[in-house]
Amino acid sequence: MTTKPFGGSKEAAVELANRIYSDEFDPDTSSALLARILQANAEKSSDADVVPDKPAFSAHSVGIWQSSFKDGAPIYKRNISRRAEWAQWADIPELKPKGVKRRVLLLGESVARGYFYDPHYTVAGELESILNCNKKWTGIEFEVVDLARSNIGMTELLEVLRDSTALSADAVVIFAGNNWGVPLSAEEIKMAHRFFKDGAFDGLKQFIEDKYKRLTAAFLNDIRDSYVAKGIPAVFVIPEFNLCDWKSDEVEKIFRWLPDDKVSAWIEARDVAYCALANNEMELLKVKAEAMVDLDPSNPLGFELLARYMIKSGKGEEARRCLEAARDTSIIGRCKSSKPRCVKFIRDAMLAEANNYGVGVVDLSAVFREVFGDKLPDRELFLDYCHLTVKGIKAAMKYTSQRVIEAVTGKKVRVADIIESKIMPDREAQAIAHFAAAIHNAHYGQPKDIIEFQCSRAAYLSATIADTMLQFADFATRHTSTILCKSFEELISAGRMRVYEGGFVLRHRRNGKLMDIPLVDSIIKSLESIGIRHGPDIRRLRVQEHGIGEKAVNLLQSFYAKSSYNAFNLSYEPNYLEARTDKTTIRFIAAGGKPILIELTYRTPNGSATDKNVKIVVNGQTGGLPELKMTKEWTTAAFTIGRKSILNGVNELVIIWPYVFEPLASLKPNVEDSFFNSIFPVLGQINSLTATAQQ
Amino acid sequence: MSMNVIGISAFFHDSACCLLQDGVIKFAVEEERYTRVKADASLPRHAFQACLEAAGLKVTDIDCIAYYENPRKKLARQLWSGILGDSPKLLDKLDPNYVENRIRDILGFEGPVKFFDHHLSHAASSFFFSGYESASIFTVDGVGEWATTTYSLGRGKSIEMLEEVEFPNSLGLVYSTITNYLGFEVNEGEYKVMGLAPYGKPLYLKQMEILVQDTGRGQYQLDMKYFNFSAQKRMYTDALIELFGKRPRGKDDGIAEFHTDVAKSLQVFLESILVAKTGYLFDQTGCDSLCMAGGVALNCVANSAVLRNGPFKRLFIQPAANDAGGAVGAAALAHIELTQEWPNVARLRHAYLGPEFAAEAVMEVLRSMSLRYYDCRGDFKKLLSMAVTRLESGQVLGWYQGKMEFGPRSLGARSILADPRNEDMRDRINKMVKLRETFRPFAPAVMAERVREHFDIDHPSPFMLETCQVVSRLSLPAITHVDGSARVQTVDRESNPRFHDLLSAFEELTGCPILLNTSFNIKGEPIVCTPEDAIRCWITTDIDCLIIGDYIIDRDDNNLEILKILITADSAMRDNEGAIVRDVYTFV
Repeated sequence: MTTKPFGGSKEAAVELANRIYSDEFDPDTSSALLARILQANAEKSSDADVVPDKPAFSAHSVGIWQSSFKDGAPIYKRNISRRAEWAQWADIPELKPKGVKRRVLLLGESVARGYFYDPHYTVAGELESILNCNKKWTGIEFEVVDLARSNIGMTELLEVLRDSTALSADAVVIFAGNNWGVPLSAEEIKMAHRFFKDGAFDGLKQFIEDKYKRLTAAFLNDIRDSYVAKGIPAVFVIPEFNLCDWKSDEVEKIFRWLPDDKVSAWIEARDVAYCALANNEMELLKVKAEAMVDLDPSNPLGFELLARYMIKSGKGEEARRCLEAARDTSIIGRCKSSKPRCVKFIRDAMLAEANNYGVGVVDLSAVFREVFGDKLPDRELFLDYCHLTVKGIKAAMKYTSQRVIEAVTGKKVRVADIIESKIMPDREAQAIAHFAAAIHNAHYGQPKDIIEFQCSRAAYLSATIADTMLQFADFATRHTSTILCKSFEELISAGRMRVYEGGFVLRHRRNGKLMDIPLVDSIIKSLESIGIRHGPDIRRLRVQEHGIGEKAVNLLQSFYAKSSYNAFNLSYEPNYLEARTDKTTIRFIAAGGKPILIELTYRTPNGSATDKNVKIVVNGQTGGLPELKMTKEWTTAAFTIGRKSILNGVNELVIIWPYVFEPLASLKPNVEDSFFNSIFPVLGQINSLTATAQQ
Repeated sequence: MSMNVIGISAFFHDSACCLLQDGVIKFAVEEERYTRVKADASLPRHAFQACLEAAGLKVTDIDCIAYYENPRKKLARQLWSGILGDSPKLLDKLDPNYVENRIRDILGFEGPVKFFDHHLSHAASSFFFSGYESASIFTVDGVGEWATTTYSLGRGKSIEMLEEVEFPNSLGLVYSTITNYLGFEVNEGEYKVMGLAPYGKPLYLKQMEILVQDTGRGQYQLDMKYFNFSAQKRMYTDALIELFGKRPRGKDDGIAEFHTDVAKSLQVFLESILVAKTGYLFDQTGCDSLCMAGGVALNCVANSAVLRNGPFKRLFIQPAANDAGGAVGAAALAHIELTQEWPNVARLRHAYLGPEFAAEAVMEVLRSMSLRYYDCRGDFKKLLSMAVTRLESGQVLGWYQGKMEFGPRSLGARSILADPRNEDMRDRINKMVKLRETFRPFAPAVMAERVREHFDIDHPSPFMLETCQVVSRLSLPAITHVDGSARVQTVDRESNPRFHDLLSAFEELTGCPILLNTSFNIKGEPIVCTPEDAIRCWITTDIDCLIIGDYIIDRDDNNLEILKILITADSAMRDNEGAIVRDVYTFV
């Protein structure tokens, strides 16, 4: 009887485990024990993992389309087993065999889908239309095969690139670079920690830039191998970013640990800068914003405030550099979902290297400057951070078509000679696109003015958007999961929301629904501007669903404690709310003019200074509200907000946490989480927060 | 001030959390019910929060958290088995305080955390809630730290561990290995093998005896040339395939006679070794009350064999005999350690220990949806009358009432119910509702006071953990297995008045005090937890009617096509986003 397949190292395993758990851990002895265990395990018999009945044949796929044969010719049909992904790709059931037309493949990310307009109007459609508008003088008829996918990363994009060689293309266009973030390895994280500890942010930045240069070169190499080397021209379109209108959200602006209590100086500079901005004291704003940048160049806020000064001072180029720097701070990875963007060093690497690999480049930053002058890219060209408006798409594809025509015909072509296409999404499709953009902007922490702009634009373009907007306002205001709400069912049934992945992006995580107060208020306002008045109904519903009554309401629920889907970058989710900046904002709904009892269980793990307190502000007022002591242990405090301080409807409870400097914590075995926890200190935590209406 | 102890099981499978208040289980729930990830292994943070909310407690009101395993011993076994990999840098990655750190980081708990051995937690989960003053305790599962089977004697507030069988010798892993060989998912398909067994003949007992040798006393030994517990895709070696002489079944293959015969052989072998080993335990303790726990104690056919064919007069198994129940046992052990006492806790009589949702919560969902429904608030008789009329006419009901069950069985709080006399019902529910294999039987729920008239059992079986022969004058094809047995649940009015009243009303209408009762979920998903879960599940299946609290929703009254498409797409997208890929088995 065989009894020891695990080797004979049991005593060693027990001893090693005991040592690991003891206070006197001896690395040398432990390593020797581990070596013994590993050697014994290596000697054990290892059966190959065999999966029974493995399929003998695997069909070739390009994205969601799988190969099969029709009348002897290969065709690619959508794979039903990947049904859940379909909405992220072009709505094409079948990729037909190549015919007489010249075939251009378009690969890329959501920006290449024409996100928010797709399927009414797509980037592929625009490119094909322009190419064929110029048939009279090129003599060539084109077809553009749309292989772009929303939310595709670099690795998956490379797969599509390699697989797409089976589609007999005459040219390939790759419109990507927004989704190329790659997490750091454990070793790289340890190195990053050292950089931060030494205050060597530039060193870290350089390291990351070098890494991305290598990745970009590898990507170009793949394009060359798959296409250019086979004589098929390739064009890479470098995306641009909505520098002017896309702002960093609250999570992207959290504090980073800085040596020598520089965080306090940063906070002081920020507060003065905000005041200066409000008072139009621009020189003071400049000084303080520069101080913020000096203190923490990884925080986008300093750059964004400095850009405000530059814009106000008419220094467009400086403003652009500041906003690009703000955009590129996302490489530090404060949050789980900094929205997609093509950072400067990817653009620079692409511009520097593409030619060496035989790949043509369309640089949208340069294109937009050429077409629209030195104006900073803004809402005119973008619906959000990177997704283009019709105007943006048309400009981008005009220049892309020029490169494609040149590559396919071998002739030099002037952009001015390119005949523009006439295709446009109709007004209703544009209205839906702007409304979807409003939702997207709201869900990712953008300021109210851009949300209102997109809502107003939608209402202006088509009054038929009103039903969709009201349906949204209804289900957003309810507790019940969106997917089950009657108003969502009606929205989907009406068939207007074919954009935005068929409306499915409106789903939310379990227990992760937002109340979308700024968005719903913007909907009400924009509809009122076209004579549709539903504000009172929506506000009544808000009170019915969320109003504080005699039963305690848990204000840590996502409806009240969250205003965007972004979250701090941890592998786990704690059961309590964590503040890594000095303000936590909670919104609650009140009605009936009753005082409200608040019960708060909190702690301040970053310190327990006796001269600093946690402050409570309700609707901008502190009167009658307590200041709470700093404490490293959970402490419960209760206080009542008087009826005079309570507004009918939406109220804002702000908790202001003091900052206390502590040395940088060292890394623990779970390096990823401990890195982020040490680099981005916690100022306050809330374990429980309830509100109850008092008699 | 009460003594509040939280028990936790986590980081393997079936993670769960319970609140023990002065020794009484106030709340217990599996994490999977909240995350909707079947057998979720993550730290039960939602379940923990639910414990606090149910009892109106804050995290600072908790005196202690008890964890159901000893991480140090487990690490030794993991190192030995090689499951942690072969990197020489392993030492850099190991976090000896991983469990405690996670409890602190995720739950925010600042108080003491106590650790108890896995099988001791199992033993405590059964003995301390059995109502017995003393008992023999037998635990058996896949693996805890090292132990896989233990023999103990419980007396008052103490458990004396007498003997244990160590990994890799494990009856649980043998059962899982054959489950894997028969093409079912490990940790999920063991019930299927048990259900398949009555269709077969025990033609492979010799092979079973080669796999596992009884080595005397409480011990047994596996011949490890047939097993590979550290592989990711399968738990057996080529030698096992040779031993049985046939290739393993692929998961989508049909069931052949060979498969039923292997299942039967495994089941017969398991029963015989359990009877032998519990007999040995009786010889050691002389105590004729038996408490069992561990995943293998969910094998209700084997449990009945132990009671029927062994020396024990009484048997207690708590409803979450699997790892989820370890949370309860650990909490009891911590309570004793903290107070040096164990209160005279009565026998656990019901499994309704989970969350319940107020009528307003149901109303809130219904008023947001497009569904048409009957509102029976204040008229429970009307609700009962409408329910039994539907059952009698052959309809299948989703029954969602009160506090959710703790443990893997639906026992009348989150159940799918049907008329057991209807011959088509089994196939109908198997195919149209549960989307599961046609060979699997359904269980009956019967009014406790009527059980002896219909089933050959002389004691209550509230947790559906025993089988017996059907002896009813009624024809009950939908709940009678091919061998004439049934996995019976007895329902007493005190424990679940609404369900008992329903059975009573059904008897009044039909003369049958029994209903087919199966768990309210679809294949691959956990049992429904919230009102929304119930409605989602009901919409995506063909269940005719949903009775949720005081509301009745008929499929015929509603056009559910759009909702069905939305929910199905949503589920598919969640699966896609979650990307939870489960290997066959891991020890981590």
